[in-house]
Amino acid sequence: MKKKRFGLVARREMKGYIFLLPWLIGFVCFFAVPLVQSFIYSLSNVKMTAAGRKMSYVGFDNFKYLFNEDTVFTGLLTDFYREAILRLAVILVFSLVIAMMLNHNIKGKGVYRTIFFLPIIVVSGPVLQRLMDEGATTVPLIESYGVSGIISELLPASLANPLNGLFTQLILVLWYSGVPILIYMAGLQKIDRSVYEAALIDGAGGWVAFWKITLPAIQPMILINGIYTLVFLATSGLNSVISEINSRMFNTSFGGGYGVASAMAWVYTLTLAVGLLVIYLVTKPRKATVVEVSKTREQIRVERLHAQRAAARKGGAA
Amino acid sequence: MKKLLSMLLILALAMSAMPFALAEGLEPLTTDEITLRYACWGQAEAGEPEVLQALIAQFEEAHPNIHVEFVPIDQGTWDAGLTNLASQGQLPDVFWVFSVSAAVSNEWALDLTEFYEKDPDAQELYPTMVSSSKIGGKNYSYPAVLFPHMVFMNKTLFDKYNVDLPSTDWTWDDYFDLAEELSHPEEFYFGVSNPLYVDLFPAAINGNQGKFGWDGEAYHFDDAWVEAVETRAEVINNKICEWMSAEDKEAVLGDPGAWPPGKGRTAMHIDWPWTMAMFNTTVKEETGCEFVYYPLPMGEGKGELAIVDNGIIAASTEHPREAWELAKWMSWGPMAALKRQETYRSLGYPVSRMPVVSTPEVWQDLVDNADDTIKGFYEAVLTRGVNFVPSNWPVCPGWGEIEAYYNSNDIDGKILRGELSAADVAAELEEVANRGRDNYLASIAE
Repeated sequence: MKKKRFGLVARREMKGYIFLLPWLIGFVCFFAVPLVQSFIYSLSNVKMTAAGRKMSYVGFDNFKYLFNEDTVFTGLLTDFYREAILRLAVILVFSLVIAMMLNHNIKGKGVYRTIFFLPIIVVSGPVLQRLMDEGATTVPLIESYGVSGIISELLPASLANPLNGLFTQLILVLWYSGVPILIYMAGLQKIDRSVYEAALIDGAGGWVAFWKITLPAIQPMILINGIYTLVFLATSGLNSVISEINSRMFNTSFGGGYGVASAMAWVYTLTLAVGLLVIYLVTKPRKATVVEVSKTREQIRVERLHAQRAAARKGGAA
Repeated sequence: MKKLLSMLLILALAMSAMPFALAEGLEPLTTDEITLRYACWGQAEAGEPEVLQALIAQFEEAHPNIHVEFVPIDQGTWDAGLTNLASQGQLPDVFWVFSVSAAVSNEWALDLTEFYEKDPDAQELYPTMVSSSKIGGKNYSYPAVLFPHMVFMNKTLFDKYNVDLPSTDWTWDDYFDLAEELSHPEEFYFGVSNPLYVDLFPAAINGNQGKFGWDGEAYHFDDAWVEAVETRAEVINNKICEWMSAEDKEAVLGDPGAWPPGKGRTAMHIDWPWTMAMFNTTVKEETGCEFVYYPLPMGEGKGELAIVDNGIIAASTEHPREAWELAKWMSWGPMAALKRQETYRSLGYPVSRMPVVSTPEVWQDLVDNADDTIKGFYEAVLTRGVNFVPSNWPVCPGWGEIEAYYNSNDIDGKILRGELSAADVAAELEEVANRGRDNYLASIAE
């Protein structure tokens, strides 16, 4: 019997799959199974009793409970998205500004980059919580000059509360900008300097160059940063929606238990998916459009001159 | 005639023996060699590991055939740890819980009503510990240790304003009169702080009610609640109560996040025993203030709300009778309280967890060994006939619903700002609370 032999391509593919295998096993065991399980839980009444787990199918009752009876979850969800929109805008703009500054040839560039990235490494959930409790994440001037009071007076509570929340945790929001800064810098460094030089020769200033060259060039990075930041905010250990889901898992006495907590997790995930889709639609790179530019008099004169010279050369040759 | 006389004698004997029979109705303990598993939190606190070992040793000495195995569970993830054990059918026989109502809902807790009725030692518990901890008419939990509310009297401020310290047998009227006398908001010194009247007044006025008027059967947002929430607003608005803004704290204390009671700015601060050590050391050193610890002022109901940690016996235990005995010897029983106090003393630590029983010998032991700063507190507990009412939130059915409704509607805040009248909203709150109770009871009946 002839032994079947794998071709070079097949062997290479197999090596790839072997490298992927640990991740795939991890995904199936620690992600896919719990994912399916949490969906089943969301359709069930689940109790971890003294005698073990008890489950009974309840259809979409847990979801109905969340939207019709629960007094906490929908409020937390709305608050989260209000705050996330404001924070997203601040983080995207702030990190772009810092990335553009760091992209210049300045002394100690590496040190500055490290400083801006350091909070991401150093500040974990419990440390952040401690810093927040100590008031280290607020801007003292905002409290001292009564900015919060002015905002509360001028704006409706639905807008004033997230805005004040943003101000009171402004430093925290800025700390979240480490990774977006790096991503922007990667994008900025890929832009060919000669494009700026050409624009400069054509009379474009820094402002025009930013809008016409920099921003379109880094649009994919804005999309990546938007997605990264929303996911980061949504999965942060300080997120009150996550805390609520955690606490509801174990507290079955107040509309809780694994069933309701799983339904919450699914609603949260689906709303996040919608949020990510919105970010994609708003920031996705547009197709490049060819713009017909009318020729200047100088260009027309030069073209005519070239044509006349060409015609003269032809005549001379004949 | 003789026959009638003998029958009467037998009847009299039977009647006289009846209470004894009822009290001694607990079945005898097993003589088999068994192991009981026990879990409680607080093991990271100074003195608690030693207390635990002393209590286990005392129990095992009294019951040589019963071995006790301690189950360590991380306090930070207590519920998750218990849930994991439950999913494997490995719950300890006796363990503490943060939420009794959740434990009952999860079918973790054994019905202990019969034990309370038959064990004579249970008569030593403060009566409201049992009556207000009922869920659907049954007792599923036991009170383990007690943290009474105390008034931290800043003796130095009393001296500064030439006001005499009151008797420890004082009333709420005395407290508010003194508060007014001691308040000097223009100097940023205040009569009181931590105005927990919404928690405290139902017990003080009605005697057997916890927060939101829970009495073991229903919530009551009655006159006690109205008085509490209105008094809170009044003392804050009149600047009798410390309520300093961040700006004021920065200007006066040099730190917008400063805690004024800890800076010696309050004459009468309501707090708990676990803060005493800090006041006796850090606060005293920083401010130079002397503190004396008083019991809460007495109301006409003679009830005092106290923070209570609760335990349950697992519904899955194979030895319920022995588990009840273990719970008693490890936490609420008079002998457990005495052993705890003795161990703390031998280690040189102040007693931070107090007894849940009214047994005079237990409190007398505290009086006999207390220093002058707290002796008056213990004596007052002993002599005033206080009825400690347990903090009811871990037990009350439907607590989560009324708490969420109350907080999300900012009831206290709106009354404080004069946007809402307490009397107008009381009926609605009572309805929401009792509806939550009904929903909970219906859910556990399913």
